[in-house]
Amino acid sequence: MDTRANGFANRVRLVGSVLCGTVLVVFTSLVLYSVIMRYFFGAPPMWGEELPKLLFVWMIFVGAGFAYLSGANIRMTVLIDRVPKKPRRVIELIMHLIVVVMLLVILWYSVPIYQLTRNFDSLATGLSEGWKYLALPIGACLLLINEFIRIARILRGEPDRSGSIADKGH
Amino acid sequence: MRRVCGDDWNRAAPMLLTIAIILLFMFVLLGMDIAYAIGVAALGFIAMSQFADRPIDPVLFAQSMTNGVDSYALLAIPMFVFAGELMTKCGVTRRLINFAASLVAHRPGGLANVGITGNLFMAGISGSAVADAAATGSVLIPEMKRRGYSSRYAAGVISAAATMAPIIPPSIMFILLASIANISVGELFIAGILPGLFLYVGLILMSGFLARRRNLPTEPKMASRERWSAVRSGLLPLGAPFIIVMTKVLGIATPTESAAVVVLYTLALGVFVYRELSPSDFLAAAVGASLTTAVIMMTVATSQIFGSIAVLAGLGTMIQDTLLTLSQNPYVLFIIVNIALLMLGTFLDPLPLMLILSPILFPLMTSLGVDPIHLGLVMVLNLVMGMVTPPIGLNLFVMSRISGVGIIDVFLGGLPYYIVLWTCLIVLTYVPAITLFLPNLLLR
Repeated sequence: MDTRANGFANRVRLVGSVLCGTVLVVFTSLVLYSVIMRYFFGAPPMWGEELPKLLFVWMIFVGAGFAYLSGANIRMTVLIDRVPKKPRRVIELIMHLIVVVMLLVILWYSVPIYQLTRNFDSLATGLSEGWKYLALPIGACLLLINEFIRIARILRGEPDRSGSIADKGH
Repeated sequence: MRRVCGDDWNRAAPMLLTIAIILLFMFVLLGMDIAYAIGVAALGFIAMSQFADRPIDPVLFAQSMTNGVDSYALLAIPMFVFAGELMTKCGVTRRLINFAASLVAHRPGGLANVGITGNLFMAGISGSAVADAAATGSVLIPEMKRRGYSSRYAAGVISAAATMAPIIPPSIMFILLASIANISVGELFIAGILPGLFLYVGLILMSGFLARRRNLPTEPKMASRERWSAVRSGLLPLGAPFIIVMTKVLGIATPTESAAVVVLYTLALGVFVYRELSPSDFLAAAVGASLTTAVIMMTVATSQIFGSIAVLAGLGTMIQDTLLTLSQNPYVLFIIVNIALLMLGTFLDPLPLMLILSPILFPLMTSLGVDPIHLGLVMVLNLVMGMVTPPIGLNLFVMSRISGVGIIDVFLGGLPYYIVLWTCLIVLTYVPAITLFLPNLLLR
């Protein structure tokens, strides 16, 4: 495989993962800040629950995208490892195509949800409710990219090796 | 039977559900990622329902994924995972194992005692059985092998001892269960303390008994100075469970807030006391925790679709009606629920099982007078046992990888301990007082 493309993919993965870690640090600090404000000063911030929750939702779906890209996902490979190479390729291809369909369904039906919610502003934060529902489609796009990489790998004849618990341990 | 909807739907829905569950099992076993397999099965149900007389709007699919994770209570999960990762980075595992060794290594049972006690301490720091098994196992199993224990016994005892992790606070499974069954996380945490200690006593007694029978080695008793330093450096990390319990009992903070406080405490411990935490360790812990949580929460998100479907399609009432025709006695139903959960748990990941089944089981059992906290504890203990029972269990895979023996050997090596766990499960099921004593005393 082209090492330059590989190097680029790794850099994207690294930046994405660091971003998710930073979001975690930020919302942990926000929760701490509101505990301290409430307990010692009796003045909890308005956004005390809403803002950390919003960041959490983003961390989950964008994080899932990067976690799957780095092979940190959980799957069971005990059985499929015993299937001979050729039928295994067919089974894996079919399964990945089904997953692609599912991710496309998520994308397709996220549109009406976003259109419906973007006009509502959250009272606590003043932000549009649409922000909350935007995280899932963006995560789904990352997961789709990951699916294409995995499908391409299977088509080249390599086994599907992303994130097996038998060797990753999660 | 109550008629919640048309006759056709009453006949179609169980069939659709059966097909969806078969799809779920099939895809999981064929190696589809677990979060995807749950999502695909739910999507299958929605697609098939378009041809029945009560079609489900597919918008529900995307909507319940976001709504299912948009919860302040669940926010505690990434922070507890973060605190756990920080603890590991600053050498807490080693200190806790030393602390455990200073207490129990010289008694009959030797290093097996250390494994059990070390896991008890780790259970108070992290909320995940797999994380605890991996952390203590990678230190203790090689050491046990060197001291002449068989690999299968070493792996078996650690794998069984790690089941205390989700029972003793903090616990990822309790946080999830509380949010889905609408019970208090704090109460579940407090309720887990005595049952956790009960499991500990059972395991440690079995370890002493086996050591005498099999003539297993014990360690020399530490010199009192060495012992004192092990106790001192091992006691501080246990401030974390202390914070969690005290903030709840005194009503100072919610579990989510106390999780943030625990992160701060761990950080202070790593930077000022142990001085082992570098900025890059800190970043690595944050990245690791965020990705681990993201993967767990993906599973939660797709499982929530099943929860919404179950409500919309009236599946809960159907399963409840079926169970109620079998018996109306909560004790008899508990047997059925226990057996079903144990069997399902040996095949499926505990989190999706819990998320899919609780919306059905909680209304049913609580309407018969079972305390939801008690049911929650029994349910989690059941599902954790599934993680250490073949043919499929995350804990077994991790222990097998660390010890180098097959999963069946891990299971057989730990069998005496599993018998203890099963006995404890039965006692905890039928003596709710053990679970409810502390919450009643401190919180109600």
